[in-house]
Amino acid sequence: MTILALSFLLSSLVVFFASFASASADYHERLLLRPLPPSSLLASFNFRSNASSSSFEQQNFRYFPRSLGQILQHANTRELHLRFSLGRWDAESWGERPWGGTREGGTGVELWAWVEAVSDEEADARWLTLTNALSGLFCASLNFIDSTRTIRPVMSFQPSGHHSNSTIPNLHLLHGALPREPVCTENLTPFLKLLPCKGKAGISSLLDGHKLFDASWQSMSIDVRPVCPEDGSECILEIDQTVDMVLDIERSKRHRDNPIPRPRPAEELICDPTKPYASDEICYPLDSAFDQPWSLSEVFGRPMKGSCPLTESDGEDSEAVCINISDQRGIYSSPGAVEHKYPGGFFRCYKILDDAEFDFVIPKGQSENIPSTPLDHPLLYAERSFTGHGQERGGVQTLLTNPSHDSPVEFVYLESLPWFMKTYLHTLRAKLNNADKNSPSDKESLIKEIYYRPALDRHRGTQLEIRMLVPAASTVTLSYDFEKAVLRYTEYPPDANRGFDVAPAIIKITTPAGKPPLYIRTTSLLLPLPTPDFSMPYNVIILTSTVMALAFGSIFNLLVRRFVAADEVGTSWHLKASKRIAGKIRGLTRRVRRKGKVETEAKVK
Amino acid sequence: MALIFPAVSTLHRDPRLLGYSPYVSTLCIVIGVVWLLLLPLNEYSRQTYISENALLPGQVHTYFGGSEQHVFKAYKREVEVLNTNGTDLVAAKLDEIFKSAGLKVARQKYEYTSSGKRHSGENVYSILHAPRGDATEAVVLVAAWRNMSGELNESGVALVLTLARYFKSTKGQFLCNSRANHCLGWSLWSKDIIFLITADSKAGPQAWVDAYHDAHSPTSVSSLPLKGGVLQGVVVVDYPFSHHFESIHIVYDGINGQLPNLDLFNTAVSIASGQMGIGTVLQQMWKHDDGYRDRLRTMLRGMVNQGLGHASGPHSSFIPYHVDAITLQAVGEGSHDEMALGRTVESLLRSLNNLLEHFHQSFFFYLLVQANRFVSIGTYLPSAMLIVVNFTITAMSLWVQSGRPEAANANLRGHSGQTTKSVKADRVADVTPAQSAAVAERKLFLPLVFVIGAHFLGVVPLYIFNRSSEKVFSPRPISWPRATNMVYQMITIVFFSFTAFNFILPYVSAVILECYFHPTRQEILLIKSFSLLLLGMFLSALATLNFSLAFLIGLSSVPLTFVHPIPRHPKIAAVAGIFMSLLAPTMVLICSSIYWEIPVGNILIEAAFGWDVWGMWTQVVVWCVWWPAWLTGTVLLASSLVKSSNKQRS
Amino acid sequence: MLYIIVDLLSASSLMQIADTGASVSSRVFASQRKDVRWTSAAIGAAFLFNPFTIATCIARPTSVFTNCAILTAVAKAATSDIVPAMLALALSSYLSLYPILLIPPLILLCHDQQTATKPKTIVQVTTTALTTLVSALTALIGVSYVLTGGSWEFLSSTYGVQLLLPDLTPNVGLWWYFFIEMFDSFREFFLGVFWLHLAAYVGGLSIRLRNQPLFVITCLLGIFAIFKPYPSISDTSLFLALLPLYRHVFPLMRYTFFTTSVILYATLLGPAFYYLWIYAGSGNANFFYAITLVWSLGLSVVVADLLFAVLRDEWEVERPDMKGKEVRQI
Repeated sequence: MTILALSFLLSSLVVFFASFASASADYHERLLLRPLPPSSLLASFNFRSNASSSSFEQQNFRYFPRSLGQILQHANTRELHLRFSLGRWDAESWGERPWGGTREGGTGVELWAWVEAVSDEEADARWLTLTNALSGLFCASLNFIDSTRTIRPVMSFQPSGHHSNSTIPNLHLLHGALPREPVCTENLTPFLKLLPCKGKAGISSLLDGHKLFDASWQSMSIDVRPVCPEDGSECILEIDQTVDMVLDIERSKRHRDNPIPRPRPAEELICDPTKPYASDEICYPLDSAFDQPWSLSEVFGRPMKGSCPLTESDGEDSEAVCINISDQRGIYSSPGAVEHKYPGGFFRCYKILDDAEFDFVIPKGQSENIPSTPLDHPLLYAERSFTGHGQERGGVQTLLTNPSHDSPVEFVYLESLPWFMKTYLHTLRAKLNNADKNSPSDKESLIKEIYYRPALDRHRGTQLEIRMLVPAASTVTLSYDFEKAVLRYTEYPPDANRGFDVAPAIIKITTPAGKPPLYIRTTSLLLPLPTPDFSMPYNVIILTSTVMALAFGSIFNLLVRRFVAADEVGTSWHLKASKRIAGKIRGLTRRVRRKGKVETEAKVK
Repeated sequence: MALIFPAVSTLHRDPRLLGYSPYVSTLCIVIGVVWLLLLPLNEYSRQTYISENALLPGQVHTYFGGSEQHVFKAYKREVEVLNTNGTDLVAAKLDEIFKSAGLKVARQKYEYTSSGKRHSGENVYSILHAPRGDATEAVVLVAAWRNMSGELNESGVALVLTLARYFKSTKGQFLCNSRANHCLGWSLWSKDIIFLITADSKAGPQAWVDAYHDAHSPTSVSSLPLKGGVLQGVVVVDYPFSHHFESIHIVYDGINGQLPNLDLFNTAVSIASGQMGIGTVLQQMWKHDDGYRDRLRTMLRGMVNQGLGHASGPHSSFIPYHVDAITLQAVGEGSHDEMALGRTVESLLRSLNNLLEHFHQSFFFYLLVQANRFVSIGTYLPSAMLIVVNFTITAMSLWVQSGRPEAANANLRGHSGQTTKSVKADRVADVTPAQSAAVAERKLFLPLVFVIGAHFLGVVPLYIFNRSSEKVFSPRPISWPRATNMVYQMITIVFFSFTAFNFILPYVSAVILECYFHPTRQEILLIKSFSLLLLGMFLSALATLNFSLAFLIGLSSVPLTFVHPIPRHPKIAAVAGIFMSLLAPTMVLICSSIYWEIPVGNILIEAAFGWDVWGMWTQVVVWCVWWPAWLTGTVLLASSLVKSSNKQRS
Repeated sequence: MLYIIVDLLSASSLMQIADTGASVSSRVFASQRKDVRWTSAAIGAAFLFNPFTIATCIARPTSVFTNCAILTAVAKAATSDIVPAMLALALSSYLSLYPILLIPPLILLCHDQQTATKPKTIVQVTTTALTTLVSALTALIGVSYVLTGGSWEFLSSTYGVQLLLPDLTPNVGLWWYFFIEMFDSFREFFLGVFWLHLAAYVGGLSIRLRNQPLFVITCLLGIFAIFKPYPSISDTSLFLALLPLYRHVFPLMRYTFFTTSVILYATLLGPAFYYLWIYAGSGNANFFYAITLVWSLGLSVVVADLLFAVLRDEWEVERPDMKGKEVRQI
């Protein structure tokens, strides 16, 4: 049952993309809601608009955002992928990532693009203009993606659009990431501005900064790519904007009635009466079995303001809101909206009137026997962490777990490390955890191919791409050591003792031919570096110079002076001084003694 | 420099200094001790203050309470039940409780074998992911199943379980405390919180933190399946009884005398006393009338704890990893209930949660004289340094002495009666500088070999006391009770035999020295000079790492400055010899064990455990720095005895 | 293992130097105390069992190769066969640049140590030496040019590192913290100053101590161990290796005890403070920096003191009556 549903879920999604791919109309939008255990909700918004390449060339923009379009033309960018992400996707409980991970980035901002240029230098120049322009457009500090943060991946990314064979040799892939960049509403506003309906109508009217950035995990993406239909008709340039967010239903429902999370009143606690000591004073809590009710307006803080009038008026594409939830679950939607349940029992969509507000309510789960939405499990779990302590050197360790029992997983592991993290490639090890000790060296059997581009101090970072595989039902530990460089004091950020963020590793899982590859990103890391004392420049300059001066002075002093015997010249100042002092002391003591004598004599007399 | 150097050189040659050197070093010692005694006064100790502005201690409302109390009571019952039912179920049950709170749980088994005893257990910990957080930073909340004195930490464990559930259910909040530019979010926790329940207080935390940094030996400790980011702070809850408590006892000493950042301590104090109105005590000073006497006692207790360098709580193991940690221990019979402690912990975690950077602002070297008065390193270091300097001064003067021909030396044996004479001699010397300028060639070989040999000899007792028992039991580590007293008896026997051996050792070696090498007076001077120089250097290096240890050892080896070989008066020499052998490290150890009424065996077992598990190097210092210096000094004394006896025989 | 062999090689060349007795007497100069000296075996042992040397050997840096090359160069020069000496010097400077500064004293040494009845003039020696050196260096660099596949980039990334100090990893020297804290605009200027300072000693010493080139080399090595860009204890061990050659002037040194204890203090405190800064995190960078200052000061005092002793020795050659008298410099 679940398997069937599951397969259907996928197929329906595929259909739903396919319907877009062979797009005739120029603007589509769709919101897909999927409840996630234990009490979360995945909302993935998708907006897509096209412009025929001819109209694009003539700067004749209809749905395609002009601001972005001009930037792309100016920077000769053929394909662009921009990501703003926050938080961490909890694969253990939420399962497979939305869009197979293709529409998300690592924490912070991630940008990669195919720039058309004849030489690397030209590509770099255009990449620079691109990043600067985008940083202006999206209020993000993308301009900090300099040469040290830019890499040119070899195996990890493939162009997703169709490029003519003439351009392909001149396309340069450049990739940059800003793990430190905090994604925030100032990034959302320009994002919404790119939409034809500008967040005024349609599903985009649900997007509210507070809700979005309160999400446990959220990712905004912009993909621009040329698409050429099979029928050979004119190619189109397609911009695809998505916003995925995982909302904690409880939390997002909370702060209208009671923002302060006081402990529940005792009567709301669900206690375990079977305990011997159970009383109204003592309560062994049970976690609530069935999920709680929610409604669109509760979760997003506002109802949906009709549909965007620019979308199709009929057909599947007109169905703006879809939910992955069992058909047996009753949903009360606002009048006028047309519900359309798809076969398979877990997918239904709503067609919304243009002008009426839309909202729906999912009541409390009535009984246990309603099947919850099936989750398909990811092919690979990846967890990356630092090893060792101290600020001299350290290590990175990635646990890659393959949950499937029969099939091995092959993937490309991409690390983009800052230059002050000096990796020792010879320490790169891949160890099969549940293998016996005397098995043949794992490195050969697991790692298929390594592409390594060493760092240059202050010029470029390390780029490490590893194509490897994890056998079925086993965990591979990938680890390598590195040394921490000491920077100039001007190169440290204001909060130097917090450490430096290291961009997440990107894992591209190669799937059987025909299917698009899946992507996973690990969490970012915090790398503490040894810090100098920032208040010291003058003292250091002075002290060091003093030492050098002392050495220099004394040595040349010896060199230039000549010797004479001590008794040939007058005694020097310090001998004189010491003699004089000594003499005084002696005189004093003598006087005192004499006085003493005198007194004694006096007594005698 | 060219001007200074000749000056220095003439001073070097000036015999008056040699005459005065004993007085100078005495002066140093006296000043050093007096200095230390002055520290508790208001003029020298300072009021504590929070220098990390981000902490904002006690600025937040804490809501822990209400129905959570019911949950707490239930969990406490569970803990009691588990305790009666036996330890093998504990991990599983805790695991289940954490899971039911909706947290990720993992376990870790560990097993150490130290001096024939097996310390094993299983840690359970769970991670609360910060919403919108990215696994970069984490804060740890620890409760040990059994505390340092082996009692069941029932309320502590229950409290941590309850807090875990509470934090999980209330991780969103209307306040905004995460990093400044995340402020639009509504989430409260910007760092992961790790709830750790260790099986015991000594080995468990060590095993966990080792594994967290992958510094563990896989044979004895299993590695961690779940990890968070960089550990920013650790709070340990110790509440081993069920009645209400009176005040919070804050334990802060780390292993090898390393201390947590003072800001953490201050935050705890200001939250407990300021926000919650709970009194705070430290160093087991249950009653502290902010007077000089109590302050001094607090400081001295602190110094002893620091000097011993053992773990004083589950938090101690974290500190060597540059993770600042403290233990909050509920003590006394009073009015505050577990909810108050819970709110304190909540508020403390919220403050840690506010941190933007790793603790770095405030002091790492301090002596606390009272909950909110401290002495900073700049103020107290001179006292130890002065004591150390006295060794160096003596060493230098001895060196210069050894450099002058016997004749010139005859009149300055550092006795007060002869200084005037020496001054005269020196006036003579002034006129004809040739005599004093002529420096006798020094024979360095024998002294160097002797001193270095003595220091290497120190490895022997170190090895004996850390490994011996293992050598006996290593084939079959046996179960607790029998092992304990067997190890105990054995190690005690070993120790006392060594003490006896240690008593005669100097005389034996002195005889050997005299009969086979016939050291000249100069060589004897050099031996002493070198050993004092080494002692001074080791102690000064140590004073920066572990001030208290350096100070204590320096103080107890002060007599070494003044023991001269005096072949003329064998009786004095004999008395001094006995006095010295009373000051031997072994004897000191025995005396202290009698004073604190701890059997010597336990101390040694503890030390061995510290060596094996915590990486504690107190005994290294004792056996490789203090003992050799003592040995050398005593040997010199004994040699003078031997000399005199030889004289009588001839 | 390899490193042990290299150390043994250095020791053997050290013993060769000792055997020539260049330190006490040469064609142009002979000390009065030439009889007071240690056997070459003792000197070699002193080098091999020097704790610094042992520590270096354990740490296995590449600098031991440089040291070995330098010692070989000196040994060859002391037996006055110019070509091998210059080859060794070329190798060492190819490895780590700074030995190039040793040319003048080496040439002088070659010149003074000639045993032939009709010695070459200084000009001839210089020409042969320089030609050998230049050709050897060009050969080496050419080879590495070929090996790196015909690109000159390796120059900037090897000698550039020596010259411009991009790597600020803490060491016992004075440069790293100075250039961490240096303002960006002045960095180049001070790099120039530091190198100039390092080079300044060569001229001065070679001229004043024209008669004792070997001592000039010793002195320079001591100065390098203090003031070169990335000094380490291996450089110190090299200096301390050549020190025993001057056993005969030890009695004339004034602050032996003082300097020894300073250096020992620094050796003990250095690691302690480094631990406090890097691992315990309780001390900050200034702790370790202060110790490097003390260390450098101590070493420079040793050098200055040795220099004083040698000068005095030299002076007593011309004025034998002054032996053991108070002296003063004007």
